[in-house]
Amino acid sequence: MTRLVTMWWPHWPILAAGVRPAEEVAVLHAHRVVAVSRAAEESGVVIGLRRREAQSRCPSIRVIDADPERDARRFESIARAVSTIVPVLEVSEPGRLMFGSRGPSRYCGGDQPLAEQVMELAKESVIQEVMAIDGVDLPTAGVGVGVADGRFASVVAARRSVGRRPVVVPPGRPSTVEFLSPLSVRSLSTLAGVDGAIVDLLFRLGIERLADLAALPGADVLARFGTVGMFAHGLARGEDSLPPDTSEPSPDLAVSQWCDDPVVQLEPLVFLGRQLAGRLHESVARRGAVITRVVIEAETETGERSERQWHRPVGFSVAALVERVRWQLDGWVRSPGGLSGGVVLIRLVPLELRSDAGIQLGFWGGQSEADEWAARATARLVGLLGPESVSVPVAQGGRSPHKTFAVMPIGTAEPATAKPTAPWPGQLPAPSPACVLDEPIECSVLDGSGRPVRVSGRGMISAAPQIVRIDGKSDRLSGWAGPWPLEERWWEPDGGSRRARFQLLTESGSAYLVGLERSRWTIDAIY
Amino acid sequence: MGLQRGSTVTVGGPAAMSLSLALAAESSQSGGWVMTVGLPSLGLAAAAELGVALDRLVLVGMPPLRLWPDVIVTAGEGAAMVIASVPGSVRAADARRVQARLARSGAVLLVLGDEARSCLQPDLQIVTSHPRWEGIEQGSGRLLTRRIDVVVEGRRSVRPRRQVLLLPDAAGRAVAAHLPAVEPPVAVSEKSVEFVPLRETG
Repeated sequence: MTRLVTMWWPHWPILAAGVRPAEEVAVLHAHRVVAVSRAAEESGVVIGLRRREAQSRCPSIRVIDADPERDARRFESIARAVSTIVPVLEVSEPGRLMFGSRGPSRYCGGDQPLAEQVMELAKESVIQEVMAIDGVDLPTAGVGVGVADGRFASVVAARRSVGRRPVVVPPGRPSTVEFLSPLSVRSLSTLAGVDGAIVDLLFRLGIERLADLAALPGADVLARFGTVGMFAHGLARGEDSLPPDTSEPSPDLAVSQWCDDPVVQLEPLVFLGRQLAGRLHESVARRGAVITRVVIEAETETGERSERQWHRPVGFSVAALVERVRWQLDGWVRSPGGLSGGVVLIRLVPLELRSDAGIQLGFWGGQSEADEWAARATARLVGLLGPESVSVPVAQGGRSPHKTFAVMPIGTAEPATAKPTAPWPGQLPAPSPACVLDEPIECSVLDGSGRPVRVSGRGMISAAPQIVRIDGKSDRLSGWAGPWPLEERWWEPDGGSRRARFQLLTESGSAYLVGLERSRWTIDAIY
Repeated sequence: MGLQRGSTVTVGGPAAMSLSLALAAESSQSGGWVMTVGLPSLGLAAAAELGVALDRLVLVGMPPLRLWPDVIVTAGEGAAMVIASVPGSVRAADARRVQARLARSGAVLLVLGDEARSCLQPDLQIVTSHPRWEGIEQGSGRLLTRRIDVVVEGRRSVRPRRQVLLLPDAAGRAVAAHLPAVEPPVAVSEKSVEFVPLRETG
């Protein structure tokens, strides 16, 4: 098993944004907290909270948007510093890099000195690069370095070592298992990308520690949880194999582009990268696979090289590949002193493929050409208007037209596939109203003698409705149906909601869905 | 209901939203995407009933007026049909630019609301009127089907055409009643939106 060194700066976006540790700041991506400053962490803000939850725990918190490009650019300086002792390293994400320890460890005289040197290099370059740029004077000790057998154990060791000395797990399976066994199974989803649903299930079944999971017989885990469960089981037992369905690609898949005229600017390089990424993605997709690990190489006319490995467990879409090209080249082209010549070669070499289980076939990345174009246009719309303004419908089920579908900002939701199939007793029959008002309009519904129509607790109406008055304008009714009572959440202390719904048709042909609740009539939707 | 690709259509009257959804359903069913811009009150259940595939529907909030042209053009590059409302009065130059870009990308722009006609130069104007619901009486039954009068007027056609449409019919869809075919309103031919990959350079 490969012995790996992981260097991890868990709240990297905070540092890259130039935030002082004493400030209360959270970085948000798609309405979720992805990084918090130490001061905010102390007030209880943790990764994964929604914006509102974070603000309620720490009212003075400042919220900034995630900017992966800036994070990657700033991180490139650290990657470059570390690459003085390690030729090839893999950047899993901005803030985390990983490399094999065999060669470098011998060079530095053992795993412990190597890890300490990596930590020193990281801290130094942060002080030099990031702090100098933003005038942040307090170097945070937020970096962790871990050395262990296998990817998972190495990441765990790095996470453990944050703010302390490097953690070196002795080589060999028994010590790896011993190191992992007290961990919660939740770390499988947070650190190893195992499906959260399976981890939740394990937790509910009382399998809370990795030791509990490792103690189960492998055959039973496979029978009950399938290959994903088997993968998790393997991790818990210190067998850090590749995810079950990955394979090594044939070398002829690599794509490269030589430029006759050396290119100096970033944008044309990214453009070339986009073409390469498109070609690579297409040839891999034809084999029914996606790339999970790729090396991006670039070379200048004077022989300078930039080589990075990138890893994405769910697979790279074209956009994600282009993003990595941009991250890597941006930091390289802008490195202090700059490059001595233009770039003449860009190469993308896939290192690991996995069969395309459909993650890529969702909204982003798309199947058909139309999907691909829609995904691109949507990404640009998000750029124009911000992520909150672009949403997709999500089926959720409910009794009123407001509730059958929710609208979720794109990126946070799986798009709706169909109308929810589960029956909702009390749901209004089709056809559904074409206009569902965001804010119901107040109205009054009167009987023949001009008195407001009321509905008793038993669902009886006081008189037949004959007139609906909206904004002072009266309209005679030519038809009405109802009341259809709706009593929801009656178990709640505030009494939930009791509503009577009607369909009203006016003589001018307008049809409304109206509701009566606590003697207030409102127009909820227009047919 | 053959709407010319790349054309701009205004839809007005009491059944404008339903009719737009019914028009969108056709391109949605054939694999195209539908994007809406600034329609917070769109009834998603009704959209699904009329045949719009909700997994190919994107809802964009109302942009500020200055961004409206860019948003529409961008949406048109990704969708087969864009249903939009106008946040105010769009300048004529912007409107022309939007329409020219849409004609190139092949997306149909459906604009809701009666005031849109003054600032855009639509290829088709559709006005719905006289909704007649059936199935509901005084205290019994429920809304089932609706007949509406539809008047379609093309920029290049001589006379407006009228038709009665069942929207929705008893099965919840729009029927009958093909929209009258109007001679191609814009000069672009029925081109396929085939995107030629960029030539490798360098």
